[in-house]
Amino acid sequence: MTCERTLDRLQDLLDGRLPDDEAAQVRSHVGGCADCARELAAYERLGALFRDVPAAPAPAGFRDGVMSRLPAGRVRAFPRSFGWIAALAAGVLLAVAVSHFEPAARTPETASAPESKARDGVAAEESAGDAAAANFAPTETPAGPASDQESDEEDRRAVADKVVVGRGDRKKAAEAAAEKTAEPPKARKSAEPRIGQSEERSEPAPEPESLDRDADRETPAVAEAGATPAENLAEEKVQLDDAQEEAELQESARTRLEVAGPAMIVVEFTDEASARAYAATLRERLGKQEGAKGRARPSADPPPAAGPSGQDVPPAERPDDARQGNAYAQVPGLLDVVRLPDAFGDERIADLNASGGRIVQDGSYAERLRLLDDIGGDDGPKDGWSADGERPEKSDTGELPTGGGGAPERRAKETPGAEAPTAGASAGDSGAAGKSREPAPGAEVGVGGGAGGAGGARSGSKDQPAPPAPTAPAPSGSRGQSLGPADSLARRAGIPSDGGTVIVIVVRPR
Amino acid sequence: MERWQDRIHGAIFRMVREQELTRDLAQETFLRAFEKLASFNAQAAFGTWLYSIAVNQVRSEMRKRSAQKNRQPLSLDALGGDEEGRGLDPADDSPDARERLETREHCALLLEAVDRLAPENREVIVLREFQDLSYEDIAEAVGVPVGTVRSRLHRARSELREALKGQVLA
Repeated sequence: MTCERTLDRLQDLLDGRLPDDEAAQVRSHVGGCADCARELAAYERLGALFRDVPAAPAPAGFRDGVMSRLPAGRVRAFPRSFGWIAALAAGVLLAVAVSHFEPAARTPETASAPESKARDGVAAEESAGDAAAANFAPTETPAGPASDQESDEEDRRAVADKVVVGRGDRKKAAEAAAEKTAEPPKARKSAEPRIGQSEERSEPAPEPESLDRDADRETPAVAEAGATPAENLAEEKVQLDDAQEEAELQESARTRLEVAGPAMIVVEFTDEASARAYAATLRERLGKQEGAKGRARPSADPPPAAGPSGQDVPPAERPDDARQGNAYAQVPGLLDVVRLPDAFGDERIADLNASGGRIVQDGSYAERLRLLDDIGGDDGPKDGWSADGERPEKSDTGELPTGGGGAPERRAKETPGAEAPTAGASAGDSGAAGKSREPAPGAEVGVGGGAGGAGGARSGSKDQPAPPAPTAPAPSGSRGQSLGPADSLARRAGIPSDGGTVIVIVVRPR
Repeated sequence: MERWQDRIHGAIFRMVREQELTRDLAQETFLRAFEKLASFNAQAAFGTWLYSIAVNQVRSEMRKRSAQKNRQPLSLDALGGDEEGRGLDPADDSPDARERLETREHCALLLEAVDRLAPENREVIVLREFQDLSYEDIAEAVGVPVGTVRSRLHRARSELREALKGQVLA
């Protein structure tokens, strides 16, 4: 190997990007060439010098500064390719990535050869992830004209309170999130040691690109905004960059939260009165529409569950709460669940803003949203969606299969003495459109009754004490199927699952 | 955010060298991240995505600054980190103190040299050496092929090696 060739590969050697045989050749040459050895030592010293540079941590109050610049009640602009679940997924990713994707501290310990080897060991595994991420593009317009950047910034501020949530392939987004979270984020880190560190390394990641020093083959400077999951690309070939999208929003001078199919939107209030007022407003408007349904929680406290004698049962003794998943028992602060027959449009947003509520979709609420998600998917065979996300065929009666989560009809059959829930408690009931349904006489509806929760047991007549609700498995027709979170939550809150948008109202005092 | 803020702040600071500006750009980076959270491709690394936003913020700012030509000279204060200058007590003449001072001076020289790099080379050297990103992650963050990252890194290090020759490096 010549000196020229060796010098060209010294940095690759130090970065661990040379194949073993070539690395050996370089080392062999360096071992016998004083000039090349001096150069190698210089680069090693350079690497060490970089590590001596002190870190530049964010100043105190940095986080507060960021948060203070996030307007209260702000809802974020979402490209149409992502629905709320994407935001959830991203939020989860945020939490996971923060926990795991941690660039190695610039210390000798973390930069040691063993770690380098460990990184190399996962290089093959991460190659798939890297390949999958190959279509990732910065979400901004990195090298556009300054005026574009400024315009983009102005647009961003102008639409700060605007909302667009797009159609989301919830299953695929969730799968992507699951795949992402399952992938050791650490493995995405540098697969090679830093320059100036130990040269002992193995299995360097192959260099897919030309090593031609002069081959600065840059991609187009202006990256497309927000690469979307491949699944959404077919529909999503909108190819609008963020600036275009925001400009479009600004031009339209309206905000909207557009969802297709079953979707769930979580809105949060800091006080119950406002939340109830909003719910009332929502229902008042929905009353004018066909199919509007919902049932407000009667009080801020968990509703009492009716025991066999019609007396209240302490929460701990409510069999359904734990096993079947009473939505109101499982979701802290849950006040109401309303299913809209259509999208959450301008009018709804205006109502929400006027009521002081905010849409909860960012990462800080990931856990809460995940809890909502878990309601629909934790127990497997119980509801209408298959494990792979396919919605099942409707039955002959046109009803989606319901599962162990609490189809009241089934409960009635399985529970001697327990009648089928009345209209007020039935999850499948589609009457009482647009009105806040009151408990039917003779039946304690309770929050979380109906399809999902304790309502099944409570729906029995007080005159005919019902034994504890069985925790029977789902009917055979629904085995292996799991309902999506929106539908599951809606059912568990006693709302028919027939598409539209589920609005989840939670109260979170600050 | 707590875990990322130092890294993002550090990366930006190594690119722009001004505390105030760094804070603003770093905050703007996170605001943008929150804003664009839904556009984050779940198949990409979150950190890379965050860095890409930071890089774009810096690029945008640098374009403005290049027009204004108001960059300020580097000082030891721009080293960051030890803002109070601990370990730099002039009265401390111990070997350890001298060594620390020498290291600090060497670092200042290095940073001056880094600052003289072309912006595109400075980006990759900062992400590589200060942030410890892989070639692939750098490529995603700055939006260029991996081969370009390599060539830029080589060029940057070669220039740094020449700049520091006889001072810090042999």
